[in-house]
Amino acid sequence: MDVFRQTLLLPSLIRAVERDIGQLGMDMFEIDIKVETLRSVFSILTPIVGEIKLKADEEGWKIKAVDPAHVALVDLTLSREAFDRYDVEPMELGLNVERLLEHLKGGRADEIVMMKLDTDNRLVVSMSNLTLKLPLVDASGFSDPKVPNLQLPVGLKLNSGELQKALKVSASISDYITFDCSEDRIIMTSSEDLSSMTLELAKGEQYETVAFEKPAKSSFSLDYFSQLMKGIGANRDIVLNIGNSYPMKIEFDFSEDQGHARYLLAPRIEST
Amino acid sequence: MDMGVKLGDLVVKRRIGDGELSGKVIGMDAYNILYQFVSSIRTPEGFPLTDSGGNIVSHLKGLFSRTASLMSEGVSPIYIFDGRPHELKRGTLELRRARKEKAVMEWEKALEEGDLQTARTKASQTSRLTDEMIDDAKHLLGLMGVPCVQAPGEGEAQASYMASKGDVYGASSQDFDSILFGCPLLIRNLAVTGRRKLPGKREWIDVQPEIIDLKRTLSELGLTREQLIDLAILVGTDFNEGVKGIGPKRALSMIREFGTLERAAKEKRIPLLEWDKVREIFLDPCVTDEYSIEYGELKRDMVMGFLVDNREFGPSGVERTLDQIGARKKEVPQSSLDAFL
Repeated sequence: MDVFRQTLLLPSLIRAVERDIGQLGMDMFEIDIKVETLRSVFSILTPIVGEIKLKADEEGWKIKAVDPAHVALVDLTLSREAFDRYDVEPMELGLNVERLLEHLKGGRADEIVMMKLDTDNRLVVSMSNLTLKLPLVDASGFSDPKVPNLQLPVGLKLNSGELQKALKVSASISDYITFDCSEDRIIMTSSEDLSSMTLELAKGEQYETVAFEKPAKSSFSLDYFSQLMKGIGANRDIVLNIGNSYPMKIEFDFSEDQGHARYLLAPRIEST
Repeated sequence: MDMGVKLGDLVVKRRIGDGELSGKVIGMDAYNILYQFVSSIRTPEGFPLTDSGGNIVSHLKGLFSRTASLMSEGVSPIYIFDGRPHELKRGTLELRRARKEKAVMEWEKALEEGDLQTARTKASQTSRLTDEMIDDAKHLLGLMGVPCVQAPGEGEAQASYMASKGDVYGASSQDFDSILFGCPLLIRNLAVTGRRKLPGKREWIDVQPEIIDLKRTLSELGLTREQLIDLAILVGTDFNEGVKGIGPKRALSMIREFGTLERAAKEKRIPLLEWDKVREIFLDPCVTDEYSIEYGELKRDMVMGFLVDNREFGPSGVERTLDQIGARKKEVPQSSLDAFL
């Protein structure tokens, strides 16, 4: 009889012990953060990918991701000062940011979200009276994207609204946009068949020069470019770097400069 | 029907991202794809579709609509046709022929008994591609402006060669042989995307295109390509029978343990026949540099003439498909960030 009882008890006992061991061995990940900040992070990522590998360490969060066709890349950091609480041991987590962003839509901007891992290695997300438990994405297959080291001759500081304007018009005309940068103006053009768009930005008026080594000209797919603009938002100060038939680089700060993001976008190949 | 080497459980697969193939040239295994169409596009009794002159049109129907939809997504398919089969493939071809003859009898029997379910299944196993059917397919592709490549030997070998030269992004086939031929990227399910019936079952599955990366597969398995070929020879390929009782998993552990086929055979006392010839087929295949991947223009009127007037397709359907090709996204000559690393 006793033997019988023992064999019945044994599996649950083993499970309980395993759980305790698991908890001991499990890395710490508990954070509090404003809904608004988390939303900013995720909406910068989602134009490029739906799932990411998050690297969390003493300094904060680091995320690099590239789209499946390797045309656009995002490289983002969020310092630990952006968090209201940050109890994290260095680790990598696979997150479905598309889904998380969807869930965050309901929250108020200044509301605090709590995120942690539970004993089953699920992500627990709580805000006010709502609690979600979500499985982690298997990040083992995510390779770190290689980031090209770009030397771009032209650097401009401007408001993203200036680009948004060009984007709106050009999308109805063509599927690409060309940036033609000279010493004192930037000409954005887009044309197809008999239609064309030209938008001129003047130095000192619509933009400031950060660097100018030589004139530069590159074209980009509007599909991709408009996706990146979604991530940047309508009214943000950005630094745009252009080369000659080279990828563009857009850099900006977010969440009161506690976050920094960088996009790279590969050019279209010029048909000459 | 099972064709090619059984490596499905070993290779590293991933889903293809939306638009990932846009702007890419894809080498299609023409025979493989036409077979799929002629076996799946049939009447409820299992008969292939024909025009009133008795010409089979099932394969043209599949080829026309699938090629058009790929083109409208910005993909540039080119079709690679098999040349002369290697003499070592004769056994496989004989076996297939015998299976088909058996299937024909079973189909007829099922029809007599009024068992439509079985009739349809058996009928799909009787599919053949005649020279006339191939000529029709090539003719149609020509009118659509789609390049056809004639391989001197195996089409998959030619596709792999073109992929390794960078002329095509990847090879599309249901068979895994391409990776043995050294194809860096194999794309499966490209021509059959969507709902697909499981053979012999009343079940449907959602089929999504997937990419098999040779480099990643080899590094995951910890093998060289030569070793993967050795593994395949143990399991059996279209060119050799394989060793009875050795499946992919067992072959993998044997090659991992012993390194080469010769050593594995010696240790396990397996008699091997003509294995070095089979190796040579994969490592030094018969391929050609004489091909063009340039797209021609779409000859709308001539496509209408051929499909509607000669092969009795419905005119409105053909027009719709032609419009789809006409609306083809201008091939975006998009570069990848990898080019700037």
